[in-house]
Amino acid sequence: MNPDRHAVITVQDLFYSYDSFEALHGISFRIQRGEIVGLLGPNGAGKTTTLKLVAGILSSSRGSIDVGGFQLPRQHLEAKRIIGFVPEAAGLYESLSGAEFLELAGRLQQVPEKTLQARIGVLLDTFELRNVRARRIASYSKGMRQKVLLSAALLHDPQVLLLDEPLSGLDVASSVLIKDLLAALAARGTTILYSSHVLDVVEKVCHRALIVDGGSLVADAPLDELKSRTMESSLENVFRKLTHSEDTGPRIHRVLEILGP
Amino acid sequence: MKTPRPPLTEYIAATTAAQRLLRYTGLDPEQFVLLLRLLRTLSERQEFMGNLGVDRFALSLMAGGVAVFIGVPMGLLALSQLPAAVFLLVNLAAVSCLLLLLILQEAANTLFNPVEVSVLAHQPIDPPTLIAARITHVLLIVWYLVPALTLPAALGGLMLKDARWTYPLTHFGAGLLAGLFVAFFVCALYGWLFRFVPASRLKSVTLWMQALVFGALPAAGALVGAGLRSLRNLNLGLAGWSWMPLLWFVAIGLLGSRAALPSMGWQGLLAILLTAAVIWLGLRSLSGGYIQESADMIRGSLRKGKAKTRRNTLLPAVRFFTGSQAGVAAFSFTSKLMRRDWQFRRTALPMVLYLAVSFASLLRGKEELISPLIPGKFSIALLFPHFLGLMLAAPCSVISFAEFHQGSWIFVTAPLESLRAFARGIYGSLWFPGALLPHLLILPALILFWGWQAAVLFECFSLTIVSFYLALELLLIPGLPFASPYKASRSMIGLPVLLLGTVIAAVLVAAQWLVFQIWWVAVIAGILFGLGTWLTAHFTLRRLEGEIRQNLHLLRIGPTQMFKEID
Repeated sequence: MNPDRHAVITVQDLFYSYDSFEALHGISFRIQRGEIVGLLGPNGAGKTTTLKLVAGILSSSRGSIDVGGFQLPRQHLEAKRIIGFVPEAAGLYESLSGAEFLELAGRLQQVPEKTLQARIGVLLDTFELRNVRARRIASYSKGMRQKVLLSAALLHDPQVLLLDEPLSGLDVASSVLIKDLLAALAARGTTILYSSHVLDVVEKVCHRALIVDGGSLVADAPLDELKSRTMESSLENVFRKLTHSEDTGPRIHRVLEILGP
Repeated sequence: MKTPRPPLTEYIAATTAAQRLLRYTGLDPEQFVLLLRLLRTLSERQEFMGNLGVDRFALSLMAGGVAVFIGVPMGLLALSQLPAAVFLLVNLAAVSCLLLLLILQEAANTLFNPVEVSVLAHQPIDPPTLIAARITHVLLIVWYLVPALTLPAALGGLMLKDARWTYPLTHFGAGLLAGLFVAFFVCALYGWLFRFVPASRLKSVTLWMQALVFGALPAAGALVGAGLRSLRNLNLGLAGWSWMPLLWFVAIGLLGSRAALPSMGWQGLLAILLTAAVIWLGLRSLSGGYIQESADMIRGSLRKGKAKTRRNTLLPAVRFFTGSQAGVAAFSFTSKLMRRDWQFRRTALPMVLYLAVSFASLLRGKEELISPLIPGKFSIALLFPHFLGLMLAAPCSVISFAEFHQGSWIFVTAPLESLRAFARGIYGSLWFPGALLPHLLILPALILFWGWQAAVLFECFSLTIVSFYLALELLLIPGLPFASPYKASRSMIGLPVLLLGTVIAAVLVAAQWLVFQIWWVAVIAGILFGLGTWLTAHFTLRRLEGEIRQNLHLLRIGPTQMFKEID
């Protein structure tokens, strides 16, 4: 990565609380144009909260977020126009068809109608949804829903992609397609923040990793640097070391004990 | 989205002047039209049925009911030859009160439970435009109900001696403006709440606000009753009254008639300016940070999540009563969700509170609290089980709906070997707090005042009656509890159920008074009624079991629209 390139996402000293529970305390990071950055952390570490804050869905109680030169939450409309977001929990209207949902997303993003229809056609073909385009989303499988969400995030050619477990529910061929697509998008300048628990995918796709634990950023470095710093050979071991994940043996033993012989 | 489009949406989409007006008020016309069409489509495809304003079928039903029960009687009031101003005032008061009650509930659900926002939150939607689209649906309630409430009276008003041929038009116009005023006022009130109450507490605050308004209804009813007796002597021409918003609309309704009110004084003008400022600032408060705070609004306070984990001491009794662990599961699940689900509490609590306060308002002195076993005297206590029984109709009619209903798949995976026990568990979850607990609470007082024999006899008889009501009301439960999204049309059954219940209650109260004249007749009647209740419960539990089985089948096969294509 070229360090001189302009940062597209800048997060400074970010705090966020749900009532009295502090989900994030003082997270800071920068992501350059064309970079794919993995966002890792145990359950409840604050990954999804971080993504929602950067997407302008939540507004922070303290700290600053700049996406593509737009300050959040003040300029959330402008920021949302350059962001494509794939949420973890598939937020879709079940009674719309896949094509209708994409039309809605594209129109809300003010994509001109002709361009929109052309892009919908290509994306439906690419993700093999052409045959089910007129079916209600209620009848879609989990993977098909995920493809609709990914298509909706790409429709307006966003400068920034925020992905929360984007490969969840996808088959192998689709996963490979998405991984290659993300690499191609990054090569043409799209900035990608990729949150996932699947560490080998992060290892293959991302240039750098941010590791959050208990609402704090515990690591921000290229993957190779993380491995050499922690003297571990795999990202999984790096992750366990940095997040102090305890040995699983005693916990498994406790479960087996209560289940009986 | 090729569904029939509402005229308002198409008018805005096609008219440059309308778009310019929207832009002038700070809204995005394209997004406004897109959001109106989206809400309409979701409603027509039965996905988004929780708001009365987007459910045209529910609105039409309600308009029909309102026309029959309120509109037509209002029209007939014209035969009493009241002064035109008083006649108009009575009709506009009815319009305002009914819309206030409805919109207080609907605007809270629309503005503070924006379920559609979870899908749209990351899209560049202008918050004022989103709020305007939501408020448009609140205004549709006014558009549907005002004609039903005012047109019969407006036409009947032609018979008044002060009225001219223009009277129906001005009367209807005044009703429409009064309705719009109520809608905007309530939305603005919520705007002020949005400004000062944390987002996570908003739903809770509005729920208690609605419940308190319903609770205050019996007192308001008594005031209206007193007011109606002196209607003919009302002098609405006094300048000192011109601060009252209702009189502004009465003045509009009387424009051009022989009974026009004198022009309002400075008090009236000041009140209009102040009210306009309150509404404008309140509505503006809803805009800032609305989408960002919607996640907190939908989720509600995290404090509720910190549920008490103490063991429920009733569970062994429930296990015995239902005969299976499945019954305990149903009891425990239903009891917890009844306390926590906002949709359930928001729809059931106002009616429960209204009936509770109505009963409490009957207890005026010692003479009403005499033992029901004193021959020849009527004791208010005889009404106690009937109020309780009618109260239980509210939770039964909405118990199948939940705010977060997606967890119902768990019932499909569970080996529910005994659906009968499961149904009994649901009955128990309503019976323990709705029937047994109130009786236990009043028992010491009854023993103190009536002696233990009369108290115990009354309690047993009363408990049997409440159990009978509950057994009948199981018919209102369409299947698994807390397993479906809320449907606004469901609230339409409340009024007919209450009316039917009142008729049944009147018959039962008369029979009960007769049997309580002689104590041993009361004992025998109680035993026979208990048997009847057992048989009724047996039948209705079987029906509920069948409904649950059907519900589970639908959950198993997934969405019914599977493979259906959209044009």
